[in-house]
Amino acid sequence: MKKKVHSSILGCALVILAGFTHAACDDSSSAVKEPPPNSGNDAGPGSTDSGSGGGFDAGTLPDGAPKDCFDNPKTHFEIINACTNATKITKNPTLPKLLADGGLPPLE
Amino acid sequence: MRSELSRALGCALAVSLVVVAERAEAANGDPCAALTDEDNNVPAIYIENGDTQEPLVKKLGKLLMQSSTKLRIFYRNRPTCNIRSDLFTNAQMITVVDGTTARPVRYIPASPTFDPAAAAPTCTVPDAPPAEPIALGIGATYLSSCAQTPAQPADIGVFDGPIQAYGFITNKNSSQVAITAEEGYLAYGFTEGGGEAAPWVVQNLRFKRGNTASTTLTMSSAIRLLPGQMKAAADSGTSEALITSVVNSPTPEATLGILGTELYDQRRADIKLLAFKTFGQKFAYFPDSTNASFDKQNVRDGHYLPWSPTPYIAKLMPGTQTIADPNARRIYELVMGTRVGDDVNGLLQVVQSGLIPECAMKVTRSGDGADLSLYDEPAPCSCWFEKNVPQGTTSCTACTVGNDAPCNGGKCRLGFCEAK
Repeated sequence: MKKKVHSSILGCALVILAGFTHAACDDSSSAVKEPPPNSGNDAGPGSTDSGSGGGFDAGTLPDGAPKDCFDNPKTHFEIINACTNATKITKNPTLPKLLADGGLPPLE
Repeated sequence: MRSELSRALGCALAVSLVVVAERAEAANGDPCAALTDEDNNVPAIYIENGDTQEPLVKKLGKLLMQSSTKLRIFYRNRPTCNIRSDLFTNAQMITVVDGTTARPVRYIPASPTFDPAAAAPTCTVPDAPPAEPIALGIGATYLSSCAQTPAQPADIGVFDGPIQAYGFITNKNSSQVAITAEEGYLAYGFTEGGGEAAPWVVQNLRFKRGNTASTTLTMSSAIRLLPGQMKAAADSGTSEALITSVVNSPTPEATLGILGTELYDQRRADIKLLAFKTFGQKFAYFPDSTNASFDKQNVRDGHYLPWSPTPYIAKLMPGTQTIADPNARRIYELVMGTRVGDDVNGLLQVVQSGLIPECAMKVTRSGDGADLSLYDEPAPCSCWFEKNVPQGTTSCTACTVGNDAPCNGGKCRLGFCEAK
């Protein structure tokens, strides 16, 4: 009987130890598992500027298409829209509360 | 077979007991001035810091306790504007409760097995003066975002430390990937779903820190709100409490919170950080070049906007801009990488804590929410930074000729050829 209890305790310890080991060694725990978002350079169909910030004139590509980023940024607007190899996410939600010009409505 | 298994288990249990015994050295609840099983004669410094800075304080604190010139850090997490008030009024380290949130004092134990990723042990301080002076404050956003009372005394200095980024977070099971500044304004700026910024239309599932916390100050300014204008569930007293609320949310899609990115970096398995698109920006970006990297590329080059420097606050030597307390000065110089002849690599702890040294930045700004401008660092360290972040790599050429020596047309800096 005593031996059985001893074995049970050891069994439990083994399970707990295995759990800890798995948790400690599972390096996938810090991995982002969702599918990678759009990392292309195109804004995608229907994409527009979010409204604030005025026109977007970054020049043209060799084929005459408009560029969507600045090669040699100087101003705030150019810096935040500078060309980059980083992942870009297109997000242009429809927000009914925005003003007609895209501005922010006053708080209620 | 069974006896081999028993022996293995016995060994594992013995190892566990040793670990438990080691941890037991770091006892909780002793008076800070009389710690059990610790050398109470080790020089000490008392610090108040934003909870986003705790990972750095613990990593650095461990190395300082293992240093040939030992220094023990006692610290307390506190909202940035409260730290400002305490340091500007020469406050002492007494018991503090902010609202209903207790602010325990913790210390770095001497044991070399102390794990900076684990909770540091607590100790007690007097309920009223006299107590130890708070020699160093480490905030986590521009102090200009705080109420300007009390005014800054002439003998207190505020120095920019490493850069701290923040972000919007959501539950791991949310399908959301990004948020625009307009969505942030409409979600947090209106009660319940009044801003019609779907899916973030449930006020009790929008979380924020208190109005004096750096996380709230920087994130509210990023969406053109004041901290008090953010409509959310009851304020989370700590970042950890906020993370718990986000993780346990019954409706992942509607869940939204704010957090320092170095805390997010430690909890990527549990929560999701949303890419952010600021006003006038064409795309949304993560703080890092991808959602799986740690390079803070978009913070450093200006594609990711919610960030601020961490202010270091300390008393000055009379008539100078030099930090008076030698231990506070040592810590500041270590995190800035300017200290010579010390056996602690503070700059490396900064990078490995998810912060960004100024020398790796290419943009700057004058205050929370202010426009960016280009920053021309005189002694850049981007190559070294990119190499030393988790999963770090660099295409820069390594050099061994010593700092400032010519290298590939530029200069050798921290072991890599930089442009200048």
